[in-house]
Amino acid sequence: MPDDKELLEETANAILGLEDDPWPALDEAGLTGVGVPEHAGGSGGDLADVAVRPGTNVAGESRDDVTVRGDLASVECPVSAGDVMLRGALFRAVQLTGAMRRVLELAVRYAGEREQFGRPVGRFQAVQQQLAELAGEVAVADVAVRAALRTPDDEVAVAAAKLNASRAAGVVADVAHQVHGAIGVTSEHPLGALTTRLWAWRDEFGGETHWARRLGELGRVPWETVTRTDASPDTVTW
Amino acid sequence: MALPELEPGVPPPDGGRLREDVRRFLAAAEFEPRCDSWLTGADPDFSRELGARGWLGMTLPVEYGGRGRSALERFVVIEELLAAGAPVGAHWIADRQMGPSILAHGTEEQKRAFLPAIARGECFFAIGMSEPDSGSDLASVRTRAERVDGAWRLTGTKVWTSGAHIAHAMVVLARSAPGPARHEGLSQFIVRLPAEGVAVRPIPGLSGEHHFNEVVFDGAPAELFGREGDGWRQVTAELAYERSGPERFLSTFALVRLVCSLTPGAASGRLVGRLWALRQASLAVAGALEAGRDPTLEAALVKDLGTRFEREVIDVAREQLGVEPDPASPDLAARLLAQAVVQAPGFTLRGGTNEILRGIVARGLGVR
Repeated sequence: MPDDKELLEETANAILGLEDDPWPALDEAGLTGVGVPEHAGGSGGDLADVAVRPGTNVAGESRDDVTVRGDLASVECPVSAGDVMLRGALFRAVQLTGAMRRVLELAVRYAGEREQFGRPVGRFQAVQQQLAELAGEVAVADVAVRAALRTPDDEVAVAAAKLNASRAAGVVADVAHQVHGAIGVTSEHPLGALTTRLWAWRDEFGGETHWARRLGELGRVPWETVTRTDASPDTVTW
Repeated sequence: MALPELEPGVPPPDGGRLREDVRRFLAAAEFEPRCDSWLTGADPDFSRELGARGWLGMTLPVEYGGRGRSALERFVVIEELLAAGAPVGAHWIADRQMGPSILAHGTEEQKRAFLPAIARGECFFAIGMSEPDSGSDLASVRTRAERVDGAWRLTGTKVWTSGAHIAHAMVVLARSAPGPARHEGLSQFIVRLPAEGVAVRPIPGLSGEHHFNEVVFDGAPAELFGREGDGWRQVTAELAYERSGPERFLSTFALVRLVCSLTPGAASGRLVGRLWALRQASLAVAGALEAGRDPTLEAALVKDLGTRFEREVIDVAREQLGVEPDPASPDLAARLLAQAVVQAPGFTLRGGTNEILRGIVARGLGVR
């Protein structure tokens, strides 16, 4: 039996579709017992109450819709929907920044290799300014995500990390495609495998607006929220 | 290729108590919160009060009147002051860069003369870099430094010199050796103010406010600051400090506070989230500087994105608060908006235009 942390990671990987064979991890987590009667060692319920509509995200990653009805829908769950969103958001934010760093590398390398008008396109200031913008969005999202990883239970930190990573994803994909030109929009080129994931992941487990609303609720006294300090009665609150 | 790399900063030990002290002081202090208070909010009495509490020259050694504290402890103090919109403009340049710079490059006599006074809030500095024909292309400065009877004399004109009319001294970048190597013949000088041969004239801002000056040197007495011919290196070494601090994303924070408390929702939350990330980035640069690394590229990024955020705040405030900018309105929101709108063009110009900053980033990435 792996320890809790390992189990959580394996289960998450299985649920999030990162493993070819998710069943061992799901089994370990007790999630394959659904539909198996309790006296037979399962967690009960009727599989007829579970409807699965297969689907994918824009990157072709498996994203099935699962609808649960009847008794199963009221099975007690050890984690809340909010917890799943929070963990999922941090997880996606990490994936986003990893992908974005790779996109930055590809864009910078291509700008140095591709020649037009007798010089690499990266020699043009218009292109340089765009690449700098790309790098800026990646760097700020990256440091936000790394900071959030230190306090993974802090909703403000995770919300801010996902918000910035999701925001950056759009800018990064736009600039990288603009720099690459038409070769970037073919499925043969590696860029698309990354940018399609950016477009999918930025909205999974809450996009910018979802987390912005949450931060709007949590951040009515914004300075204390941002510095993660309590507002005491004698601090500035005008 | 160097990809930007920022390790999140670690809050200073005991930073919480320091923060509480500053907050208690600010809650009791009497001032009107402003936008852009670090440039346009000068109050010498307030500066002296901060000095008395040990919140100026914090990182300077005790033997020079400082408090021997870390850059991250100073970060806590200045971000609290900026977030409150406190009038920190008088001492800002002296505390931010001249203290550390004099400690690094000054003679023993200069250290004794300036550092304790800076830490007491009794010595304000102005910076003489830009000239009528030299803006982004700083190495083209023409102000001349000549040795006359063993003493340096300056001749030339500096512009956009914030606070020169209240400063006790000014640091000046000047050409000390003619010649084709533009970066080699530059040196830094200190001019104690007021002085013979120095004329300070106001250049009114868009709303008529006075912080900019034109400073004309006509054979003005000056003392060499640092090594002769080392001016360019000294100036560029300071830039990471100058470009990455919290003043590069908090200039319009007073509006953020209003939007968040009056109209909480997705729009205010977007600002909170962005602010959280920019502050982490700024803290990360402070941490890198403290650790002796060279985060020039990262500092340029922070300033580019931070100053654009300061402007974004204005549009969100306009959309959410529904007030007209009015400098004399009884409504605080209208006054703050008026201050922010007229200062906003400067956010992305001062300390290196955003286009120059992105050029630095592009060079760091290896495409330039």
